[in-house]
Amino acid sequence: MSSVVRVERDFERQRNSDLILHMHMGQVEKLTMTAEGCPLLIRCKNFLCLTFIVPRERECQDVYLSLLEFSRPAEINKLYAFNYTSNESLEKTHGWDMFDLQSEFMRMGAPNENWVITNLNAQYELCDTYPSLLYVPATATTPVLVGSSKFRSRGRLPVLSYMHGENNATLTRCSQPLSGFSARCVEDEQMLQAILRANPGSDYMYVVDTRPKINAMVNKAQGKGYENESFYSNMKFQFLGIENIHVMRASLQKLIDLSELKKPSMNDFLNRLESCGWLKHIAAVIDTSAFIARAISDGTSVLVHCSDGWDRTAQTCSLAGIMLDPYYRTIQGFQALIEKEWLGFGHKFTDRCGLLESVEVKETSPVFTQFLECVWQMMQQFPCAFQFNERFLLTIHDHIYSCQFGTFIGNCEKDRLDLRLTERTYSLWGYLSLHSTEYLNPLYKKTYEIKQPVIIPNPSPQALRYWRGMYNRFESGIHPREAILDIISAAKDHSVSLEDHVLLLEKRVTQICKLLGKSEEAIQRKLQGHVSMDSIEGYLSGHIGDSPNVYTNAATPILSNHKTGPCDTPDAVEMVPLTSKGSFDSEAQLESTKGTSISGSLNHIKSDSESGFDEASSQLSRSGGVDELAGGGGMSMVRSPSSDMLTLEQLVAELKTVAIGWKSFRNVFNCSCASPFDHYVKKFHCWKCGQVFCVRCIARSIPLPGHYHRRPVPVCKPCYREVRRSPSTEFPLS
Amino acid sequence: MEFVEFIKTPMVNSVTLRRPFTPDMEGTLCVTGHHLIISSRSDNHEELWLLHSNVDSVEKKLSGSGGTLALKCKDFLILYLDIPVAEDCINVASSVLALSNIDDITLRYPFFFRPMFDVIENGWQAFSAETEFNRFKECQEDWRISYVNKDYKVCPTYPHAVFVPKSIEDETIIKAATFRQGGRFPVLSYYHKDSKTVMMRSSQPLSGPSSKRCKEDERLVNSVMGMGKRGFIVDTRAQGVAKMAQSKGGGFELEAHYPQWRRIHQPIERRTSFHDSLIKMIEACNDSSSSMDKWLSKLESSNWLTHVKDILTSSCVVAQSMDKERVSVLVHGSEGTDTTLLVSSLAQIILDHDCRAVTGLTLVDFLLTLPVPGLP
Repeated sequence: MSSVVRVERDFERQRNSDLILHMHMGQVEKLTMTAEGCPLLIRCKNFLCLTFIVPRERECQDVYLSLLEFSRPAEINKLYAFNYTSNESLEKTHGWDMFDLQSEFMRMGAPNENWVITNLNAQYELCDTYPSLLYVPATATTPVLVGSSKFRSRGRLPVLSYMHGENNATLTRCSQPLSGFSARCVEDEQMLQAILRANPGSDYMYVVDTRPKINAMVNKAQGKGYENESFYSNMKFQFLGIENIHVMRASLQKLIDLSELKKPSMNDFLNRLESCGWLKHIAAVIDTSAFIARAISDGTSVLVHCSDGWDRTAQTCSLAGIMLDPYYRTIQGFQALIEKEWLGFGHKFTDRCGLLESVEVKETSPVFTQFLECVWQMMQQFPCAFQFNERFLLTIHDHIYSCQFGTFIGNCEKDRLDLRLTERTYSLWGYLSLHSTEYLNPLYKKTYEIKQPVIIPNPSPQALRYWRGMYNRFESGIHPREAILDIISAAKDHSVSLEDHVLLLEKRVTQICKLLGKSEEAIQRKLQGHVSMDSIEGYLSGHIGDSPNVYTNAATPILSNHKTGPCDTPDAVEMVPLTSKGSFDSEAQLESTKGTSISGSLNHIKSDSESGFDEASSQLSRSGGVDELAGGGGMSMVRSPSSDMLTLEQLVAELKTVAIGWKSFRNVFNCSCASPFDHYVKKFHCWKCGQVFCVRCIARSIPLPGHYHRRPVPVCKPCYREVRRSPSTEFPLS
Repeated sequence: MEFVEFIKTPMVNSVTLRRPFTPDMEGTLCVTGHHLIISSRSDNHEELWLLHSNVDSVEKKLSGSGGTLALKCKDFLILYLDIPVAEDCINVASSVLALSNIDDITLRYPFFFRPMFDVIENGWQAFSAETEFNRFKECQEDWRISYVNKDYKVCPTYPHAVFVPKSIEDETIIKAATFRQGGRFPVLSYYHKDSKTVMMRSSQPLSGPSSKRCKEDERLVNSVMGMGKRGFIVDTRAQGVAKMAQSKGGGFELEAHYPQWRRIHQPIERRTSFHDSLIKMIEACNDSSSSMDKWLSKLESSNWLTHVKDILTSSCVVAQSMDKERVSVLVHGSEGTDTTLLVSSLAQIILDHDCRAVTGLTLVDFLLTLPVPGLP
């Protein structure tokens, strides 16, 4: 049984064939028969919507039934992750040990004198949806913890979620109390007092109930509800109206209907956007999170809960974390945050994503999608504050549903341990780290961390946008034709490459000038572009003409080689008139200076290459290279012509390894491997040839001889082979 | 100076400035001949200079001993000024009102403005009809510059030099102009090199209820078409609106008289409804208390985005006709100054990469064919 269905698409202008993961399929519907055949509508969880026309009805029925079966397996062990094997160089173990709760809490400064680790939940006996390690106030005794746990829905007692480094204010999370109409629990009251006392800077704290008050009251009838204010002193209770998962599910369904409209009128679009209420809910989540973040940055601790404390609580706690702590806005930190708030504290991914047949519809809800959208909305308001880009969020969203990785399988930490996911499946974090270059935001400013560590987004409706990148992701027509962020990151890479190349050229020019006996000062001035070219010209022509002894050996074979040789470069050709006449008068001639210099400096470069030529030698010439250079010049005079010719090739090869011009992304619709680029796919440049490739064709990095620092840089496959084969390089194979 | 007459209270202290989505600021208010200055006079010295001519409307509301001025500006800035003394409030309001509506055009700010920077380039000479015509070298076989309007008599709102078909003499143009509203006879607006097609613009023909015709106008319009070629007349009004215009003396080209042209209606609302729509949208944008639902429904009922979409659609139709279907286009609405201008200039931006550069954009025919700049 293959987990991937290969299908022909009904509209021809698109790609001819497409792969869709069964796991991504949300709804499969058979529509009424038409003249051409039986239409089969597939709505995917990543908002791709396709209609297939199957010619015969019986086939359609077969396909329909098998799709229904495959898209929602009956048991958890049939999920794609347990069959999936990576064809990339991804190890199964990679990524599973990247994050652990203990080091994350260590980073925040816990445990400390106010907060301690408790082992009460080591075997998940206190609360089976919590992690095994819990951080609780130091003053809370075991009876208090156990008592409080018994008084909270599903045993989810108040535990530490985030500690704000600057003022020790904390964010704690729990589920609703089992208060009903009159019940109280002294231990739970003591627990909250202990949390309050753990923040000596404040004499009150907030208890945020993220539900609308009416919902909380309804829960009272079921023996749950909210804390009775008169039993808890020094607490400020706050209801903030985020709707429940059923409202969100219905709202998303309406949003999907909206996103599937073909050519809606402007009024129709706005009307439906309003009536689906999606953005209203997003605003409510952001507003609540901003309330929490503001309170904590003002030094007041906050306890957050909703009903079970794993949906709205997870959303708001993690968003407040992103607002408060710059670390969570980095690629690494964002994953740590998901690992802590969502995976650690038990968001029911399997249920909410509807991965299994057994999951009832009323358990599914786009809670995590909403969280990602809130992050995206914040990214729109603070474009320089995040290390990652939209693609990162979309990739995570895809793999929440794809089940390709074991990371999001199961409903809590205990489930995941029981399923032995770390042995049987791959980790998404490993995959993301392998692809991290695709997710970098070129606008990210690290200084944001210090200048404006706390970012509070504006939840007013004018500031929120419709996320077409998510909900209309597969409609290529409505996205910008050029992805500005990708263009910026390409431009950044390009200038890094050129600057590194310039450093190397300067080094070579310096070496040559030294060989010619120029003073250090003159070389520097020349490199700055101040020197009058006449003096050099006079010197060069004179010098080369006058003392052939030194250079004939080196230069003559080279020149003759190049007049006839196959590897003519502009540099080499320019060389010929230069040595005889030499005319330096324009900027353009600088290139040819290089050419001349090359012929002279070969001697040294030879010695350079013999001494290892890459990392070691460049380090050398940067620090104490001056003496070495002079010595090298002397030594080279005894080189035989044949070895000098080899050196020239090396030098030419060295200069050719760096692309000066990079191809523009514009009007590039396919990679050379024929895989199409759409708006979502990141395009890459080969640093050697400057052409545009997809991620699979550029998977390798190698140091280029044309770069001074010799850092491994991405190149395409043909260039990779070429650089590896080239005689001038002795790089370790990667 | 005359300005002094209008300024009864030149300076008011402890005025509070409120703006939507911005913290309040307290400071001193000064009224000068051309500016309203609000200065916080604190350490980090925030100062706001507002040109009177930027003020669109002044509303004053007195409450207790003081009052509040609401200034709505043409650049969509909305300011509220809390002034502690009612008399000051009334004085400032009347000053701003008077100074923002000075009739004598020579008293306006441009005549007083002295740049603080060195003027390197004479902007007045930067664009001329002749250099513009050189951009369309390829069409110089069929088109020429005509100075028929050099005294602005044929059409007071056209520039002194216009591009017309080479085969049409100036006398024909003069007659054709009488058949077009405001004398805005069809002229070349843009030549598209890739498909060798042209875009022309004009105002509506004055065919009137009896469907009059004008031989000269027909000659002018039809001369653009070579043998066997076809063109589109893009009318920016709905068909019904165009028919209604007939009863008021306007109208549209009858296809019988312009055999090579096909008329397409691409309805865009009239200028006046843009204005209402803009007011509604600005109000929605600046309502900082509105909920998501209220915001979206206000945005919807303002219709602003609908207008934007209509204008873009029409421009795309024109651009696509020229580029893909390779036909020439004549664009007009009623007066040929508003929707015509929008569509013809946007179509150029779509078609011509030069128009997307800084100097190119200024070239796009806003100044060349607008009514005299400066008149409201």
